Amino acid sequence: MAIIVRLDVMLALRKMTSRELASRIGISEQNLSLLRSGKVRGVRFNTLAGICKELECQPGDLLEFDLENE
Amino acid sequence: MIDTTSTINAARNLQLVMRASERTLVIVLACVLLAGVIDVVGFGSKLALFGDYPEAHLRTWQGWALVLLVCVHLCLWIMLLRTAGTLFRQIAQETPAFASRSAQIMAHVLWGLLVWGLLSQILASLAVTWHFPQGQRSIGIGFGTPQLTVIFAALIAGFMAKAFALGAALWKDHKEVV
Repeated sequence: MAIIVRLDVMLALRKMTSRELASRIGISEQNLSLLRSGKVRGVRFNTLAGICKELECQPGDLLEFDLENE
Repeated sequence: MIDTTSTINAARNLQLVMRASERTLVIVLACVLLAGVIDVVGFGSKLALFGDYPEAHLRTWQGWALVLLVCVHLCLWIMLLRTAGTLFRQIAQETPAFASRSAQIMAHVLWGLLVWGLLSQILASLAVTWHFPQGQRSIGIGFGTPQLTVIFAALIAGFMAKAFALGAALWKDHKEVV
């Protein structure tokens, strides 16, 4: 997929585990794992807003567009 | 976020209702067969009376014919209830793609019930009046509210199959968005 998810990088920078983030934003750890691996078809704005709020970042820090990856 | 909890709970409850109804009809089927074994002529005469035929002294094969017609009818209803139970179980398990296939089978069984209903009327009237004098034998066929209800139910079930297929695609899409 052309959209690359950099959630792993932000989790490492903020020293937070995916389990902790999942419980804070109210989604299952399985769904967060799917998001990290880029195996989802989409992300809801409220999920993205929750992640940005907890990791104190912008959506652009989490998502990257790479046409060559499509 | 779409909440599917109430739908799944309703499906679970309906699955239990279908299962209980299926088991009730299995017991009725067993009772019918047992009544046939104990006194097929007497039971057959009662069935003939229930079907608006005058009480006649039926022969053994006529009694068995009526008993078997009732048994086939009950078996079709059991099959319908089992399919409906499967459909609700598949919805409760969040597998709507399979539910679409079950709804399609339900539609086929309902059409089969309609055809059998008409055919069984013919066979029952033939069996009951077979021993009547020439000129008094009859073949009966009726088409009324019960048959119209089954046609309506079959059409609804057929459309439900398409609706479930669409629902399955939407459900899959919904699950793949976090």
